[in-house]
Amino acid sequence: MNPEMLEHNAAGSSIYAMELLSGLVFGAIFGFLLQRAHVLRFDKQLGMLRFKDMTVMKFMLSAALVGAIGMTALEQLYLVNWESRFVVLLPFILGGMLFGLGWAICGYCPGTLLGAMGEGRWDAGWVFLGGLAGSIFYANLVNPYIGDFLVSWGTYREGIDLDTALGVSPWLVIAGFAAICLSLFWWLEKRGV
Amino acid sequence: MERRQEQPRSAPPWSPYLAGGLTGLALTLCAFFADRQFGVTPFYSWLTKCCGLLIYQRGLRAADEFGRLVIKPNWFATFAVGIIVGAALAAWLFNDFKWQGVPDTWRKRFGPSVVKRMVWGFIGGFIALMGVRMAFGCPSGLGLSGMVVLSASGFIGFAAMFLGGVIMASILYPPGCDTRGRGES
Repeated sequence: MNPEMLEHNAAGSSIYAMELLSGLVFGAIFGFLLQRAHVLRFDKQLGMLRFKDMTVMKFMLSAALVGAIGMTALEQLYLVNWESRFVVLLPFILGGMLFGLGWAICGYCPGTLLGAMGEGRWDAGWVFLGGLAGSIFYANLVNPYIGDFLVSWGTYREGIDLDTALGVSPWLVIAGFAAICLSLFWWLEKRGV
Repeated sequence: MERRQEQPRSAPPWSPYLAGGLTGLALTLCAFFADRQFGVTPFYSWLTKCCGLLIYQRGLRAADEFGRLVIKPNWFATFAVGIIVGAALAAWLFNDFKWQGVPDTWRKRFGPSVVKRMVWGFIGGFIALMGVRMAFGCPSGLGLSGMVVLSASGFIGFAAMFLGGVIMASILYPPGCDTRGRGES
């Protein structure tokens, strides 16, 4: 958030209000689509992790594929300009796997548990409380001790984009990604999961 | 929102390809109009800071200028609230709302106990959010938003999350444990 947005002048507060409103609108669109695909549900999430029902995987990769095409188009038209995302291998791998272990126990992601509460799955409330406690615990009692160690190795602050790393056009990367996703989808549909 | 038992049939879900594709479109529009990327982890970071102020400064009233900036709601906070609103709206419009405290898959494997589900839900959420804070993102913030900008972070993060989930799922639900995998909606 830009510091000028926090100033208490009329223009600043109207920008701030628009900022909050846009968050609400896009969050609502995201929640609506998550609910309509039923990917909020414990049964669908565990179905993916057990390779019994890959709805969540189909949803996720479809969103990633369409989003990648849209984002790359925006970047090529100079409509957005973002810095590359940093890569920190140790936190991504260890934290990602730690998240996965908890995910299979509770059956919700941090985002889908919010939507699950919205459609009446109130056990997501326990997950939310546990998650908040875990977040407080990690920020106060774990990160101060291991945070520096975790980024001591495998850290690429300038970020790694696949297209620049491979030295090819982003559209070629998207084509490869699309080929992988579409053949995976075809295989999943053939297996009926 | 009350239960609607007089209409037992709820609308069938949309194709995950359609809903996923529309999500990809939505996050592109979000990048264009709001200059933001989807993600909910900052919402938990923000809540954590608010709780920190409550604990260390004995209440938000005592917060100083810095504290007031920290707890000021940001885009990610309203985004998170929006997910709840959007899911509730979709559930209401498509007659899909259902109060349920023990998911079907869990019930078949671990029984109908609400307390058991509460304890393990809390523990699972605790572990999951520790991992999320460590990895600087959740499946939507690190995985999805990273993959759409073709960053290595998204692919590495998503692979690690999926691997951890598959390992724990195979421990909790070993092959042959008597549950039907296809979750009935």
